[in-house]
Amino acid sequence: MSDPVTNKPDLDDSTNVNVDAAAAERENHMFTEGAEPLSLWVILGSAIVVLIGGGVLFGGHVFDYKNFVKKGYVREKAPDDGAGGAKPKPAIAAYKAIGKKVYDSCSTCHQPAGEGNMSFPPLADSEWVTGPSMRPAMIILNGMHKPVTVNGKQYDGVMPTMGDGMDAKKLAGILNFIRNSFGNKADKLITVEMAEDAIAAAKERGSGPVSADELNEKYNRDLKGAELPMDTPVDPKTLEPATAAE
Amino acid sequence: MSELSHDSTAEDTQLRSEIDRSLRHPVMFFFTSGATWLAVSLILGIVASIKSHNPGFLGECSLLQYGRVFPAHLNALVYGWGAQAGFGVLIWLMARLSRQPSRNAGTILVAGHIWNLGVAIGVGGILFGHGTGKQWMEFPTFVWPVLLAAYAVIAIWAVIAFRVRRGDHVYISQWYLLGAVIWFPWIYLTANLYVNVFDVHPLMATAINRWFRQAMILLFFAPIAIASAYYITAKVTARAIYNYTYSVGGFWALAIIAPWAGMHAVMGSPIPVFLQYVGAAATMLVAVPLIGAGVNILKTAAQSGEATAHSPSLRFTVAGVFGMLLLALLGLLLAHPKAIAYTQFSTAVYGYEVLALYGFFSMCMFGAIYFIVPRVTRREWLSRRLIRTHFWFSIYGVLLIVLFCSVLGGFQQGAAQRAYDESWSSAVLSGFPFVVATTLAWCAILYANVFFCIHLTLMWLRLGRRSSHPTLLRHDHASVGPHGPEGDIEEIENAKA
Repeated sequence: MSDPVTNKPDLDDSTNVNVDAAAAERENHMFTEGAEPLSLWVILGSAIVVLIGGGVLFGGHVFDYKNFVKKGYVREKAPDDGAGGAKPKPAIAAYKAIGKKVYDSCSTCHQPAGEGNMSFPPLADSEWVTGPSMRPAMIILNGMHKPVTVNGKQYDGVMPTMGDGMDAKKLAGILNFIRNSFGNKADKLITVEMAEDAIAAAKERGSGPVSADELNEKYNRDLKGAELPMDTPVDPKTLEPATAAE
Repeated sequence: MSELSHDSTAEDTQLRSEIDRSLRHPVMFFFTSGATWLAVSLILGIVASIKSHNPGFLGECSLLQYGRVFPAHLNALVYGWGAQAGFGVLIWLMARLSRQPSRNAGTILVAGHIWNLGVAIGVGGILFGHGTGKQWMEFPTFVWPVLLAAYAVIAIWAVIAFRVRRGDHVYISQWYLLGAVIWFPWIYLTANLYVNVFDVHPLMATAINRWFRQAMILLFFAPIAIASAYYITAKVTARAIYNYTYSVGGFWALAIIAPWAGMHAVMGSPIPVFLQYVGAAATMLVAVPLIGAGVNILKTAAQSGEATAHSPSLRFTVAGVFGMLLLALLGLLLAHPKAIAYTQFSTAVYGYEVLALYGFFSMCMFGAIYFIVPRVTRREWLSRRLIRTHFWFSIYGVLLIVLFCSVLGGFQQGAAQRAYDESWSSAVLSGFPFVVATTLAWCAILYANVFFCIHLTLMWLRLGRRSSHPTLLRHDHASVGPHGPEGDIEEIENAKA
């Protein structure tokens, strides 16, 4: 560096390296082959990363073709007050779950186990419950007066109308509940559509409690509507059949 | 020890000057147009961010609705700024390390203009409603072959420079650069063919699109940034790479792991399950090479703390390397299948991409630009205050975006989305404060880059300081800087005369 004239040749006639290539001139020469020991922390940190990543890779899901989508990833069941999106249930269970809540207002007279008491008839093992499904629907919607004979015993209690504020979903729920509880076993599921049939019939009939004779005369039939197998998966909230996969 | 002298010989200086001169036009073109696209992208990003919490902003002009502005913002960032800054560093660094001046600067410059035209048409196409709706591929479909052809013309000269390199030694940066040069066309061609050309099942096309985004980050932007960081750090500190063997191992680990990453983003969808799990594992495992490279670079820089503090190149580079380490940790956090359930459809992915593109890649590119531009323009940077503003507002901005988008906002939004007994609007509202904060963070980054853009333009116009002092970030004028004794040109010459 003693003599700039010999040490620093001009790049071309007009350019002086000392001025114009100052940045290139002051650059350091590079040394590449460092071989300092690796810090233990780098090795440890990398090992932790490999452990976590390996856990994902070899966690038993990678070639799990039976579960096309990992099972654990499916969302957990929605809480009961959830607005849909919950895991589908078999239809009978979903309907009965709704009916069980409605039955709370029936159990004072008909008793929690459906055995009835002195004035109110049992629901267990009753032909009125498990027989043609229009009859119990009309009783619930309109109430009932005049005596009724169940299993050879006469009951005189008056049943008030329960139809106010009862929508088809609740009616279907309570019907399925009483027809499939207390030892009862109905062969068909009462769907929401069938319950709508009952509500339409009750509307046409007008208000006022029904009597046993009237029921046998006019309403001795099953509710109309498309049948649904009892174990069809349905949404527990909307009772719609779950068509898409979860 | 004479062969280990840090001082450059006259032949070295002359060769470096020749290389710098040969590439000055394309390199400056890539940097200045890239910085302009960065500013455009930031403005679009701010508009998109404001739109997401204040939809009435700028009225009902369809050109400026969120669905167009947001993809325009991301694509301008990726192809306008990211790729062009990468090209500039790529061709310059490859020429320097191969010790070969370029003889094809004109061709590269033309290809650079074509690339720019493609990006401009693409961004305009998105804004006028012709976007494809596939993230990072929103340009109208006729644009991608143009970009690929322009890329081929630009990058082939880097490969040729490598082929005709002087000396046998292949520096670690060359490995990374060569990797990026080869991987980009593979990723870009494959993804575009499968998503835009072949009749692939839409679900699989979505998965390929997510793989493309992750591969662009890990196999194109990351290797260029790491190459630049290894070079700048070794060059400015005049130290050997801390552990050279480990740096080469890190390259091969990245090459093996990174191509698997990406498809975890569609976890839970009916694509083959191993793709999702391998993608998640690869995104997590890529932390190993990233941490390896990061620690290696930081250990090298730490041997010369003064240079790190004072040299703008090294300071930006070190910040970018910290961004890389943060990216590795964030990948580890966000790609875990348990976290994906929360973050899959939230802003967390955006935060991860912004960290990769700005906090890691762009910071390393800024470091390289602060190093390269004085050499190719033969002028020094004008103002250290502009550089400081650029540095600190970038750091604040990108950290806030990562914090609010990925860590806090991402998980909170994801948790709110999963509460499906609540209405969707409440999930959107729960992210409101984070979106507002993101807007402010983008404003900070825009503030930083407006000054950067002006500074760079002045340098491009050769209005930089004509001096032999480097512009260093220090308050006092010490007599001896990290690059040796300083002094005005005239002083030196007078003294020598």
